[in-house]
Amino acid sequence: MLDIFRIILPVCVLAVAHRLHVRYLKHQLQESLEQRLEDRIKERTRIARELHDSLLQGVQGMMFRLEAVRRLLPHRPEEAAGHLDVAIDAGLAAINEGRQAVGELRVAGPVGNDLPQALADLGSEFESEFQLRGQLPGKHRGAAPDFRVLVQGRAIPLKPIVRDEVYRIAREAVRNSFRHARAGLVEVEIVFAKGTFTVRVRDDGVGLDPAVLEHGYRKGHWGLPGMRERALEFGGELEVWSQRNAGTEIELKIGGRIAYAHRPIALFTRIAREN
Amino acid sequence: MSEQSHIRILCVDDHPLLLDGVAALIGTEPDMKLVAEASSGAEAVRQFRATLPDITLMDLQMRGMSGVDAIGAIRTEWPWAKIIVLSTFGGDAMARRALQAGAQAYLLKGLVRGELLDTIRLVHGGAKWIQAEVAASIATHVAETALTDREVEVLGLIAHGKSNKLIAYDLSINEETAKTHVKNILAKLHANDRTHAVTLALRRGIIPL
Repeated sequence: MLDIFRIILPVCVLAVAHRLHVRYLKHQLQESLEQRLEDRIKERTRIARELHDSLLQGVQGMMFRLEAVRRLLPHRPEEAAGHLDVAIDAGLAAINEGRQAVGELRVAGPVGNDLPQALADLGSEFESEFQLRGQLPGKHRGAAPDFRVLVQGRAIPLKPIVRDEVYRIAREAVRNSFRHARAGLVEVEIVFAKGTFTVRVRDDGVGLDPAVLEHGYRKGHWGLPGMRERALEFGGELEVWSQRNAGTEIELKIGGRIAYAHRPIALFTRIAREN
Repeated sequence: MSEQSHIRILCVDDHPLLLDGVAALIGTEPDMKLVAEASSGAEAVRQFRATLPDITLMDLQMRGMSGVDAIGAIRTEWPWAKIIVLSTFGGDAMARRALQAGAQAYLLKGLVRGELLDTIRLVHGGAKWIQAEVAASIATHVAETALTDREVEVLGLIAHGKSNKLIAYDLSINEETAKTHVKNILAKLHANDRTHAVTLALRRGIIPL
């Protein structure tokens, strides 16, 4: 009798454990499906907002100016020509803003394999955006901040997904520094250490609004919480440090196991060579 | 023309290129004068107080204080204020809110060819004006059950990519209640799923972008 118990009991325990495990897996699958759907909604809203804020408003403003040109043309052609020049510049500005918005939607492409280079390219991109925004009336004028990328350690290939996400987060941080920090220097530091991959984006600007820092976001701004959520999604950690008039630093840390690509190909070539 | 006979205009929009364009157009008219610009709802109220314009052109989607709130604030303090909404969106919910807040006219930026200057003169003369497209979208949905404030709030959180669990957490309600809200929202909007509901709500201006 006791013997039968000894056999049946573990079987029962195993069966229950198995069911629980299956249920857990199902739950996980469901959660990840829901997460994907929610990410998609968020992304769609962001695209709509970007288009509304940049391209659409710029073009609509231009249309009003063209209407002015139309009305001036018969009797005041010289004034009309002046307005046309401005309309052309405004059109170019709108195109550029739209291009930035679209650029953010397809970052997977341009990153390629060279993350440090892709991040270095951000410098010229945001510099030209900075100049352009400076030309708009009522915007802050002044010199664009200096920009540099530092790499520590020998570059280790990252997993493509991690690489793209790191690029997005760093890009957002660099953009914030260019747009809002009124910085003299914006610096990206990439550290390839064995156990951990780290990216830091820092500037010597005005620092974050304490309210933004505390709540992680400002109404209507997606920057910080978006970055933090993205980091958490793939197992990274995001730290923000900021001091009024001393600057801001955003640090993204990812464990080596998550960050670095395994290199089966290297192993294969070694085996091939040894044989 | 004497200073007295100018229609004095305040233009409110958070996009500098849009403000520039409208300024250029108004500049062509000898009987109109742009007296101030503002790029947010709060600034609009300040500029209104400073200049007391005849006509205010008001965008609705701005960061911070929205256009609808600004219309409400201005009309509360100056009930005689004449406000023309100049919006990107023709959604019925947004238009209805703006008109209820006290706007006299509603124009879509994309359909405004030749109409802006005429509308300014019309409204200055005491008329009201709603563009046909906007009127049609209001008429289409006039018989439907409107979303409650709570449902609008939930919809806003869905648009931010929040799950039922997070919505429940944010609103301090339980997850089942959040689920019920979502179900009612889908039914009222005739939406197939959450994504569809957000798309419809953005189009109709039920939630701001």
